[in-house]
Amino acid sequence: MILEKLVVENFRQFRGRHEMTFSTETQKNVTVIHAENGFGKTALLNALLWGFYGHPGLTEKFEQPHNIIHEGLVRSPKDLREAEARVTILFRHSGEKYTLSRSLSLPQQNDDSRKTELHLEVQRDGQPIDIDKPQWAVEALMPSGISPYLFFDGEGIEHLAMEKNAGQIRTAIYQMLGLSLLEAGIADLSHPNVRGRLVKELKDNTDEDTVRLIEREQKLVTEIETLTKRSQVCCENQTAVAKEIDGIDKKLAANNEARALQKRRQTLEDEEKGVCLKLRELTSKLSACIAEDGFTLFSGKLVRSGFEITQRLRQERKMPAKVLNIFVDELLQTGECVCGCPLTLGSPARAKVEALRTIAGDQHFNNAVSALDHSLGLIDGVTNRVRATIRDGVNERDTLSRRLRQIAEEQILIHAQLGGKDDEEVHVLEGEREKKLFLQRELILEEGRLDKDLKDDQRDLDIVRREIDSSKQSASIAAKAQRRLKAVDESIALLQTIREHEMRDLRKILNDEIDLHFQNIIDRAYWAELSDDFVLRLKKRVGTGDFQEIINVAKSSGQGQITSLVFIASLVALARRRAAIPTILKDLEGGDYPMVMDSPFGQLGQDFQAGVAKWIPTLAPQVVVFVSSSQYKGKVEEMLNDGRRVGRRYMLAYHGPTKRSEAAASIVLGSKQFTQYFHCESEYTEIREIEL
Amino acid sequence: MPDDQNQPPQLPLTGSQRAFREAPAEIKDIIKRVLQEERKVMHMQKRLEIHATVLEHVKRAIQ
Repeated sequence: MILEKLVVENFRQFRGRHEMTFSTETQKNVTVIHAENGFGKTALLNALLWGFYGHPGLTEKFEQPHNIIHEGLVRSPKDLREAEARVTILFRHSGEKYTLSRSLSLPQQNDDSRKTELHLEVQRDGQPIDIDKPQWAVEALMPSGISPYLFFDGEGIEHLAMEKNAGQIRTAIYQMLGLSLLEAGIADLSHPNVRGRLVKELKDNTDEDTVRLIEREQKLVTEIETLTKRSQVCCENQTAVAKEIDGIDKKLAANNEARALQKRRQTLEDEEKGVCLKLRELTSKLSACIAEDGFTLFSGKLVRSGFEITQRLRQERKMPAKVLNIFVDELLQTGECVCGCPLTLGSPARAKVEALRTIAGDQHFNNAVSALDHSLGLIDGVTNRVRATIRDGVNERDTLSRRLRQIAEEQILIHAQLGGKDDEEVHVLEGEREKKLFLQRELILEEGRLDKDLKDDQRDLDIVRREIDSSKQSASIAAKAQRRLKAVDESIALLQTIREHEMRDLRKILNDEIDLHFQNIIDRAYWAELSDDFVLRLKKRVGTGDFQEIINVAKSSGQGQITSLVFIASLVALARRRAAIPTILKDLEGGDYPMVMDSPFGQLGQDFQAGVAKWIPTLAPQVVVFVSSSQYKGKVEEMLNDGRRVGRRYMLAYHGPTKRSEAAASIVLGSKQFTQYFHCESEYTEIREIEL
Repeated sequence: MPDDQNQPPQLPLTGSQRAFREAPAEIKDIIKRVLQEERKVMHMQKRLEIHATVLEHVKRAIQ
């Protein structure tokens, strides 16, 4: 999909009709929209989302989502019929031109703003053709599930790189690369109206033993559903509590009395994250070492006795064999020695050669002796290495654990100091923070318990289902239902296997893509990687020579933002060439998708800003960037202009009684100055094109 | 030139293609039909008939 034009009419602060044409040139694929905070960036981003998906498409940041129509019109409509909001989007997809138009009238907004009018038409042979069921058509062109990865707030995007959001990463990959079809197939077969019906058929026609098994199965299914829901709620609660703690931390950091201690606490928490990460790495390294080579520690006696045996056999000149059986046999068969002496039957020469058979050995035996020598030497070396790895690992683990204890002690001290402050706000905040931390620990423990129960139940369910599948059925109806049930279970299992294979293949390609994009931005020893459990990790190599190892790096906000952006860009790139990637799923044509980003430079340092700005044009076939003047000036401006990839440029001109203090009233672009704030009693925003 | 040189090079099978190829015919049939049906309706919010259709396919495949 390539966006061509956006027309907004009376949508939020955009009073009247405003339009913007996006750059669609391949070499100038970037459209920049300059806008200060509070001037309408979020509203414009949401206009696009509302156009495509209606109310469900709006972002969390879009406050009061039920008030779509411009406030001035709602307060004093001159003509009720004219008081409506409308968003029109012209776009191209798979070579066809579409016009989408969504509207909401004032009476409808007052009644239920979620119900909107949507029209979608496609140009075929020069004729506009109305598309029936337009929302379904939009979903087919660009599923709503992928919209958060194509239209997003750049400052909030770093959450994708957090471990707890692995589920979102998984969903994004499934949605954009077509694997959700497999998920849907699994869900269809597992549905109560499919699998459930067959279970009922079997239950109604089978013996008591099988009925008991089925009842046990149904009980387990219900338990798993309940546990899954509880687990989801637990995760949501954890996210909510983490947000609350974050909010308290921000308030403490803003308080003069608490600032220094809170800053120290933040430093300690960052360090704690890094130490915990290292501890996890170390534990898995030690586990891998013990699992792979740990046996060598217990084979010392065996190795020593092996050495002794081989040594003795060498001393006795029994190994390696000096003469091979095959050589002696050949001489006797040909009847002539290598020295030319005939080996006729009964001759002394033949008797001498025949006597060699008593000391001759086998070639395989000689090879085995060499291999044994080599292996014994290797085991000895590995034993020493394993011993050193475990010793160093345990020492490092002790050091890290000690550091964790020190951090915890200092955190307790900080809590006591903050709690003892006279400042009432600090006192209250600190008390609240402690309660939330306690709750957070409780939730983490609960999640662990639920996870264990879920695994146990899932294991029991698999066993019961196998028993049902293999139970003997005498009635023919029951036997048929059982065969069908078994086929459904096998189909589900095969779809799951296919999904895993497809994902494994895609992950490899995706990681290559991620690496490529990441190196374009960050000129450091880091690389980003998507793990098997769908976590975006930042990695680096430490050590030198033979002692190099790869470790996970705790991400800063900026690094998290870049990692998330890189992931999305890689996904868009892969979606574009999906048809060329081998898959069992047919007709995955892939497609072009635009990327529309609000403030992608927000939390980035100057170095990262330059990297991102340079790389932004390559993110997607079409890129739309919203940027404030403070984020734009300097490296971003330089990089975007150097690349000459900006095809079109707009600004949001804000009219209102006041503006935010940080918002600049004008912006200088090139050699020209543009006013972007106009004092006015009523509030509205205009879209103005800028030509430099 | 031998005939096989005129043929386009055969790509090695992917893991999922191998797994599918090794499955019994009736399982392959069920999966093909389920995915065909799902493809038709996967973008729809209400998909009332899909489960009845899928069940019919299963019953037809396993007599």
